[in-house]
Amino acid sequence: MQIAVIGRGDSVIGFTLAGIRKAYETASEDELISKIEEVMADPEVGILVLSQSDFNALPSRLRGTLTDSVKPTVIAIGTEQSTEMREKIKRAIGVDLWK
Amino acid sequence: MPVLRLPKFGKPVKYAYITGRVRAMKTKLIPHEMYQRMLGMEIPEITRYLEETQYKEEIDLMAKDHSGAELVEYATFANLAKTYRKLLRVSIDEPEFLILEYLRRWDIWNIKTILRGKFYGASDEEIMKYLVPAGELDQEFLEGLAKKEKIEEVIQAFDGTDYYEALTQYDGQMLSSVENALDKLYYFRMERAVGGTLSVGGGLLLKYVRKEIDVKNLVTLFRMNKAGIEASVIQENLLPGGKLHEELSRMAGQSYNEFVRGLEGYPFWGAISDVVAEGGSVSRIEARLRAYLVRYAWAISNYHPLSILPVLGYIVSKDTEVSNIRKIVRGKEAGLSAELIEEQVVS
Amino acid sequence: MAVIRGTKPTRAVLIALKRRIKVAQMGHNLLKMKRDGLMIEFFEVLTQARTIRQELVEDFIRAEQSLNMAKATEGALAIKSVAFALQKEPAIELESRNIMGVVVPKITADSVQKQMFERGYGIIGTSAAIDDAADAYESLVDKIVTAAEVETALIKLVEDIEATKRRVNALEFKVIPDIRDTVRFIGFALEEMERDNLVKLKMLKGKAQRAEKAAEAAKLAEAAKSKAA
Repeated sequence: MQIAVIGRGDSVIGFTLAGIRKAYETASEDELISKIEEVMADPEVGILVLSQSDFNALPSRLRGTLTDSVKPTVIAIGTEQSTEMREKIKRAIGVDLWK
Repeated sequence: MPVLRLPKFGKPVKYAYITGRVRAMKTKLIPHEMYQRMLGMEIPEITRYLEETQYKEEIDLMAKDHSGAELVEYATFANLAKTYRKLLRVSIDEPEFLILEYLRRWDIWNIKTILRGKFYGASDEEIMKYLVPAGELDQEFLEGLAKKEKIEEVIQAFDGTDYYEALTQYDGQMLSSVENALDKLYYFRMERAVGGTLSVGGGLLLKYVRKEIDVKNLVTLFRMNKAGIEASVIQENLLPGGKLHEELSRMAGQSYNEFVRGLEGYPFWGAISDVVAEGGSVSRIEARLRAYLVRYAWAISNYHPLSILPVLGYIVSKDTEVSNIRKIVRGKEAGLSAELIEEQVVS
Repeated sequence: MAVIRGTKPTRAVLIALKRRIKVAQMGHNLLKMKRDGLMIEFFEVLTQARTIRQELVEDFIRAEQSLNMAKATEGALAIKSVAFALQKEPAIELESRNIMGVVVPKITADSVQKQMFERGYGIIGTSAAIDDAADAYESLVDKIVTAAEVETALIKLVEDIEATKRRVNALEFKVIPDIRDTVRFIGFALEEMERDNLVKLKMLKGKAQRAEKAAEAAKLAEAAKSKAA
C-alpha cells in the first residue's frame, strides 16, 4: 500500500523527495477537503499525511472521522498542537494524560 | 547538440565587439553591496527593488501567475535564460562557439527535466514550468519534446546528435545513469572544445573548466565517501577529465577522515579547511567550493581584456547573481537566519 | 427499587436470578480485570506514542529545514525536477495485532531509506543539499509510519477502554443492582405468599377444628340419645 500526502502550496515537495507519488498540492480549503475525501476512498492508501495546521482548520466532524479512521490511518504533523487525541484520552480515561 | 567538431577560426579572432557588449551588460548587474541591504528587506521590498533593475520585464510578466519567493525565482531564471540567449545572439566565431559549449549545461538541465517529467508521468504544462531555456535548445523545441508521449520518443528526437549515445543508456528503470552520462558528455565536450582554443586566454579558460570538473568530483567524493559508499560505485559517478582526476579517483571509498586529511595542501583546501570536520554538513562544503570556483572565474576574468575570459566572468557573475537573489528570497521565505543566508551568498 | 419488569415471583425464578447475580459479578470482575489490563497496556503505548510524537515533530522540523536549504541553494525548480526522477516509492504493509482482544494495526514500511545512488537522480548533476533533504524526508516518512501504528493502537485502546468502562459501570450500577432488587422483591413476594398461606392454613385448621368439635358434639348428643332410649 501507499502513503499519500496532501498540503497547501508546495509543502508536499519534500515528501516527493522521499519517493512518495501520491503527493497532492491544494490551493484552497475546498480543494483540500475534496482531495481528502478522494484519498480516504482510495483503497491503495494506507497512511494519509496532513499538516497539523490544515487538519486543525477542518470541520470538526471531518476531523473526528479522520481521527477514527484506521484504513487509511491519518497522521497530522507539524509543530502546532493536536487536540483530537488529547480530548479522546481525557474523555475515556477521565484524566488529561496527553501532554 | 551537433557532433563536436572543433572549428578553425581565422586569426586574429575578434573579441573587441563581444567584450564591449559584455562590459555594457556587466553594468546592469546588481552591485554586491546590495545583497547586504537585501538581507535586511522583506520579500515584497526585494521584489520592488528588482523591478527597478533588469528583472522588471520578467517580474511584470510573471506576477499574474506567481507571487512571493516563487515569483522571484521564476522571474530571475527567465531573465537568466533571456540574457544568455542574447549573449549567444551577439557573438560570432570562436566566442560564439565557446559560449554555446558552456551554455549547453542548460540544455542538459532541460533534457533531464523533460526525461524526469516523462518518467514521472507529469503533464507537459507541468514540465514546461521547470525548464530554463538558456542554452541552444529553445522554448519551442523543448515544448515539442515535453509534448511527446514516451521517454523513448524524447530520446529518438536526439538521434544524430552527441546526446543520443548518452540517452540510449536509459534502461527503462532508473534515470540516474542517463543523467550521469549527460553530465559526463557535457564536461568531456567542454574540456575538448576549450582545449582547442588557440587564442589568448584559452589556456586560462581550460584551467577554469578543469577546475570545475575537479570541484564537481570533489563534491561527489564528499557526498559519497561520507555516506560510506564503495569505491567502484563512487568512481562511476566521477566526471572524466579535470586536472586532478587520477588523484581524486584514488580517494574514492576512503574513510571520511582519511579522505579529508588527504586534501590538505591542495589549492582549494583554504576554502574548506574550517568546515570539513566530521560532523559538518557536506552542503556547506559544497557551497564553499562553488564560491571558490566563482572567485577563480572572477580572478582570471581581467587577465586579458580582449579574450573569452571577461565573457566567462560575466556568465558566472550573472549565474551567481540569480542564485544569490534566490538564496536570499527562499531563505527569507523559510525564515532562515540572516547569517545562514549570508553564508550562502557569494559576493 | 428497580425491579426487572415482568418477573414472576416464583422460587424457580429466584434461584435463576441468584445464579445470574453470580455470573454478572464474575463478569464484572473479569471486565474490571480487562479494564485494568487495558489501562496498563494503554500507559505503555501512551508513553511510546508521546515519545514518537516528539521525535516526529523534531524530524519534521529537521526535514523542513533541510528542504528550505535545498530550495535556497538549488531553487524549487531544481528540486521539483529532481523529485520527478525518484524511482522507488516506499511501500507499506498493514497487518493486525491483538492486544487483549483489541485489534490494532501493525504497519511495516519497505524501501523508505535509500542510498543516494539508488534514489534515481544522477549524482553528478545534483547536490548535497538535495541528498540532505531526501535523507531527512526518508527518516520523517519512517517515523510517520511508526507514529501511524502507535497512535492508531492508542486510539483503539482508548476506545476499548471506554467501552469496557461503560460495561463495568453498567454491570456495577445497573445490571447487578437491578437483579438484586428483583431478588429482594421476589423474596418479599414469596414471604408474603408464605404468610398468606399460613393464615389460610390457620383458617382452614380453625374451620376443621370447629367442624370436628361440632361432629364430636353431634356424636355425643347421638350417644346420649341412644342411652336414653
